[in-house]
Amino acid sequence: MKPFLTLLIGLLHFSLIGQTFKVKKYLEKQGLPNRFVSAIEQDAQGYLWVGTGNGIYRFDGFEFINAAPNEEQASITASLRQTNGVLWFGLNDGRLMKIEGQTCSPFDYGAIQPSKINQIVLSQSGTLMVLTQDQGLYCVNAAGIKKHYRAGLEEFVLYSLYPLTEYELLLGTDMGLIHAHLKTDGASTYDWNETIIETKVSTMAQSPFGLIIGTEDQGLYTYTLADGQIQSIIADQSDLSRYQINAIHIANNTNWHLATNNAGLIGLHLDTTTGQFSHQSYGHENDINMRSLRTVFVDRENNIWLGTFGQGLMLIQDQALCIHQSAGLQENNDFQAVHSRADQLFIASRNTVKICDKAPEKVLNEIRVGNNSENHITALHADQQGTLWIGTQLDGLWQYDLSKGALKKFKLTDDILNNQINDLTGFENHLYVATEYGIFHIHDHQLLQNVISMQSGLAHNAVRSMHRDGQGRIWLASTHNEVTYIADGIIQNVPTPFQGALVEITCFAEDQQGQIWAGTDGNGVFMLTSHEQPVFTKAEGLHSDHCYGMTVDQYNRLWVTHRGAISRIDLNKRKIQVIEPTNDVDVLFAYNAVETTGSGHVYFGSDKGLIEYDLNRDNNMEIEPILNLGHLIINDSIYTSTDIHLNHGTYHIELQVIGISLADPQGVQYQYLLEGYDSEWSAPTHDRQMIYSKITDGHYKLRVRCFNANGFGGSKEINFSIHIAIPFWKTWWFIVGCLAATVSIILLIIRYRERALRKDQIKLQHALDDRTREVVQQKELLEISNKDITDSIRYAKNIQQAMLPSHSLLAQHFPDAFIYFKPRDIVSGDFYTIAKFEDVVVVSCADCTGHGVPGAFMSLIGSTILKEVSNDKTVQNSGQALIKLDHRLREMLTREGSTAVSDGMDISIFDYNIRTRKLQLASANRSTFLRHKGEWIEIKGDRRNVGGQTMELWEPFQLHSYNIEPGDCIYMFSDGITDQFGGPLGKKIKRSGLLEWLKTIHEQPMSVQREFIKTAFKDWKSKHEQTDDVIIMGIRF
Amino acid sequence: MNKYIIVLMTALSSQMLAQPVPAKDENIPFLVTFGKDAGTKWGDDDYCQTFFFKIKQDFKQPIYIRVFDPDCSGQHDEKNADFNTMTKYSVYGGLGCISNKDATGTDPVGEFKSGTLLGTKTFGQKSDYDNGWYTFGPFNPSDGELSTKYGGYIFKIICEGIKGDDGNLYQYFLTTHPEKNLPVEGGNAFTFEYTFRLHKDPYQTSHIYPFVDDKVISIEQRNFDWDNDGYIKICSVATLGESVNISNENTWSSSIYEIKKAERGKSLDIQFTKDKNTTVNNNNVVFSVRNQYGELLPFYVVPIGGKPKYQPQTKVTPVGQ
Repeated sequence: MKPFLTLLIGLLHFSLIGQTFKVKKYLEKQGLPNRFVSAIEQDAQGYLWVGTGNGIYRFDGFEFINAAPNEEQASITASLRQTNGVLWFGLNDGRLMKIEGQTCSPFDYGAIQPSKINQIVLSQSGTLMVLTQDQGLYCVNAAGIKKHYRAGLEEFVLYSLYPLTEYELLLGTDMGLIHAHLKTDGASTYDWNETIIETKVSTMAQSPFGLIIGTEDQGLYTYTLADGQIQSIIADQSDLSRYQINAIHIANNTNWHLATNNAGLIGLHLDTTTGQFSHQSYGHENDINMRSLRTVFVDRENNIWLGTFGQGLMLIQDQALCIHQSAGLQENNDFQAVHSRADQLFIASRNTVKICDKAPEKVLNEIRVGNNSENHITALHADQQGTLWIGTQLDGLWQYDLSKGALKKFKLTDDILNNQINDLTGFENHLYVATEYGIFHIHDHQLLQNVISMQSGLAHNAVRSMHRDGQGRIWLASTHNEVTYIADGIIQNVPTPFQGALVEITCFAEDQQGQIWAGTDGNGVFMLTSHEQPVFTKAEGLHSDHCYGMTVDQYNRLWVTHRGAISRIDLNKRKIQVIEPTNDVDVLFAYNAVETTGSGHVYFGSDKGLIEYDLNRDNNMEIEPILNLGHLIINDSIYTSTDIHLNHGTYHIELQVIGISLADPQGVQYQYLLEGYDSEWSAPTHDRQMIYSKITDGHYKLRVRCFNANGFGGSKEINFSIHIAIPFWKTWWFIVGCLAATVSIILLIIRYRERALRKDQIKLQHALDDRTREVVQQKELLEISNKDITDSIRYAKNIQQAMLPSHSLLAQHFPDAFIYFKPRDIVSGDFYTIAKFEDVVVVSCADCTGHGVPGAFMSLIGSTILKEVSNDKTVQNSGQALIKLDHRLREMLTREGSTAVSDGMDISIFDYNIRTRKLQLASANRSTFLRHKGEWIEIKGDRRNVGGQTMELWEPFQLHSYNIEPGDCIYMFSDGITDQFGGPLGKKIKRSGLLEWLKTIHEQPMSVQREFIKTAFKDWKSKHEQTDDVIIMGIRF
Repeated sequence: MNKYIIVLMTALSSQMLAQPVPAKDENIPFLVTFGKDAGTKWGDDDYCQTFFFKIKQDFKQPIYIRVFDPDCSGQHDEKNADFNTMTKYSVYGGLGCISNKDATGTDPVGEFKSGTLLGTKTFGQKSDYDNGWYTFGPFNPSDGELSTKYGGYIFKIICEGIKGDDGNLYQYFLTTHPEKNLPVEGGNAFTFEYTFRLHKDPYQTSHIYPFVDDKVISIEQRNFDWDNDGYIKICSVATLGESVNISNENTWSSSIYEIKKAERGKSLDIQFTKDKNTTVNNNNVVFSVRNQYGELLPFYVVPIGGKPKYQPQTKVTPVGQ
């Protein structure tokens, strides 16, 4: 007999504990404008489509967007998803909406009279069947041919439909199930199965075991397609007639969901080994807001969505997580201890222990420990001898014989603290009892020794919890700077990773590698037994650093309870996930009330009830979100193509995507990569939008991928190839062209310039020739002129030579004398005079300003005037001669109305009375060396020249008088010799240099001295130009 | 103007939370519908009764329509030989629910089941709901038909005696809770033909309250199967009590009543008082009122504008003046 045909009888259990699941509601506040939800579908892109009382809304996990129609009374009543992803929604006014992709549009199926659409079905041959409530059945085959079947069905209200063949249907009506036969002419006949199903057949669903028929008040039936047999389904020894079934969801072979009108969601589970059905309430029966469901939908991530009638859309957030609560007082839901052994589960609230068969809703027995309900049970331990040990908060240790059902107290001591039990653990027939004052060891129901306390070596008397590990060590939780354990009766300690700081240990757990983990009150969780001693705290993602209890599940995940939440640490991946059992209630977990069972359940005791996590249902961890494009906007233009070619320019790229993971939409993370711009994927972010600015020419590949809240995913990407054209000036042909053009231009320029240069050269050559010719002509003219001038000057030299006294004239008066006269040019500005008037010989040595021809003119003038002055009888001495000379020069060189000539001359002049041997010397701006009486005297002239300075007054020149002795010498000279540059340092000879020369040679005959001076001057001058005319006269008296 | 007055007065009465049908002020023990095989002499002329429920347009919570003792057996119901009656209740909303003219007639003819069927249930002799409540719903208020004339979303419930010959006695309640009678704020209920059971106690007076709008000049009352059991009076703010023609067993009777100016825009109080000298048990009566145009006047279970209280036209002068 097939399992589904069997009258299934469940075990006789009393479900004293109800369970509720964590539910998230979507109402107006969450963006769903209408709270009457009758249809839910999911498209291929992962979007949820919600049919409500005023139209269809698309939901992406964040917002609801109205698709159509947004009308106050456009109530959705039915839906269908085709395998190709096309969605259909039927309305209460008979309209049918078709959704392809994101487009929603009305579909004409040939409706004659508007009537509420109660079901939409696609037959195996592809015929779309639209079942209306009171206008029969409309069919649109794959070719688009429409047919309407109503004849014969007028008396029924049609609610549900299942096509057996193209023309054989099962119709669920207000009066039961009918087997309808459609005729090609649009008429129909039917067989009425009223003998079994006499009530409204609201829904039908195909299951692996046949057709499941849901009724309004007669529960569930199975319909055998082969023979048409109908059988009622019994679950847990009860037909399901108390449930007004609106919709059925077949999750898999063994699990179904019923959306009911009066009890919310009901789960049906088929035990394949026993063939029996059990049903599971999701705790909605007591919640008026969740009682009326129109539909149930399980999405691709196995999230259960509920369409409620009046309370919007609901999501059972975590099917694995539920809270078991006792009926009655809330205080009875304060579960302080939980323990399991084999198939038995022991849970304790207040002073009562419930002994359950596998699951908390199957309570086999209840034990009340004492009469004081405030004496909470804090710890449970079932040993191998069939004794359940019960530790209490105030009243010590109790033992319950599970086979006999006998409860009695086990006396420890009379001490109050000894009777405050914190934890129990044991092995075989050994039991350890942790109390507020030490530990007791019980063996074979005999207390082995007195309390193990601080006197025995414990750090503290109060031991909050214990754990016996695989090596037989008993770990003790207390406040200490080390962690204590007992091995072979010896108390030992291991250090903590907190460097000797006091740590309040609250709980222990042992992972699959045998490592011991400690939970603390304030320091998170750390591993005790490895050298590494890793620590998990709030900084690493733990919900809190305050831990109440711990356990390790079959997947090597460490479960840690905190106030308000549970942290689940994947010890293999070192990832932490925080699980909040409720949305808005701060759950207080009991210390050490955590238990993992062999059936894959983790139980947590809390003040809000017994919290169960079913590891078998934790199945949406590795379902990747579906990544959808929101929009791609490039410089304010929207692009949908994946291969985008853009003109050259600078672009602003804005990409918005959404990874749809309805289990945790906010937890989805994204990574972006713009190849050609980024070097690597961006860091994971929750931001669904990425902006790239100032993207210029190049080839880019924009990639995005996403991961679910658990970090799973990334295998599917959205890609865009973006090609931004390079400007023509960056193209190779343009560059080559430019280079060629540049070279050509340069060559042209060179050629042009060469030609121009050549022309210029010729022109210049011509000009040069002309100029050369002109220059040659002028040169010739100049040479002629120069020759004439030179000849003139040479002739002038002769004249000047003729005017200068001869050396013989000087020798007549001074036998030993010399004159060294060396003009700089042909003619000289220096001159000398010698004249004799009676006994007086007048000798002068002058240096006219300038040299060459101007100097020669001045010397001619000067010598002429000086001769006149010398003949002037009024002139008595050399000083007066200079004054006269000065006066005459000024007169001569200055004409009335013309500018005075500033030229003049420096001159030394002396008159020597041969008879009296008296020498009188005056000098204008010239020095004279006198060797007198064996001494050298430098007679400095007045600091003015003759004829060159404006002197209003006739100031006399200083007259230097000496009585000359024989042998005295006098040397007069122009500055042409003292100012000559030369010597080894290129300096002037200066007067000092000349004096040195004279000191060297003064005793020599004057002719020798002249040769010496001539040679010395030549050597001194060497390669230097002669700076001025030179004259030096030496006279020995 | 007519409809605006109804809307206004309905709004004014919205605080009255008039979801029990019959309402307290009517002092009617039960509505009654017989199986179609029963003779009309039992007091039901058409084996069908239609009631309308009005929900304010801004009400967005789910609503329920509950039926008390919907079956036809056990307590309350009127047995004819053995109980064999099937009674079908159907709730309608949507377009045509009340706007279809057949929906507001006195007889179940034409498209009186107009609108969208939102829920239906047929009850026989099963005792599941005997002396108990059956709940239709929840319904989305916007699934009713939006009617500006009647000031909100309108739902219609039709009770039909589809089989048998017994009398099904029942009550309705418009509620926000599937298991409790929690009135819908601003809700009301009305019908155009009342078929109800009278108290056995002859000292009890039942009332129904047709609303008279400003265009009504005169009304014609029709009653069926009154069994000459006492009298039926029209009371109003201007009439202390004017008896109308009453029917006998299985017969119709009608009469005209001239509407006074002061009665326009208010409800009339039709009082049903049994004869205290004779005992007519299980008296059921059918009653309707039309205006001079033949249009039916609605009976609101809570009278629009409140229960009419007679106001004498005499001038009272204080003593001493």
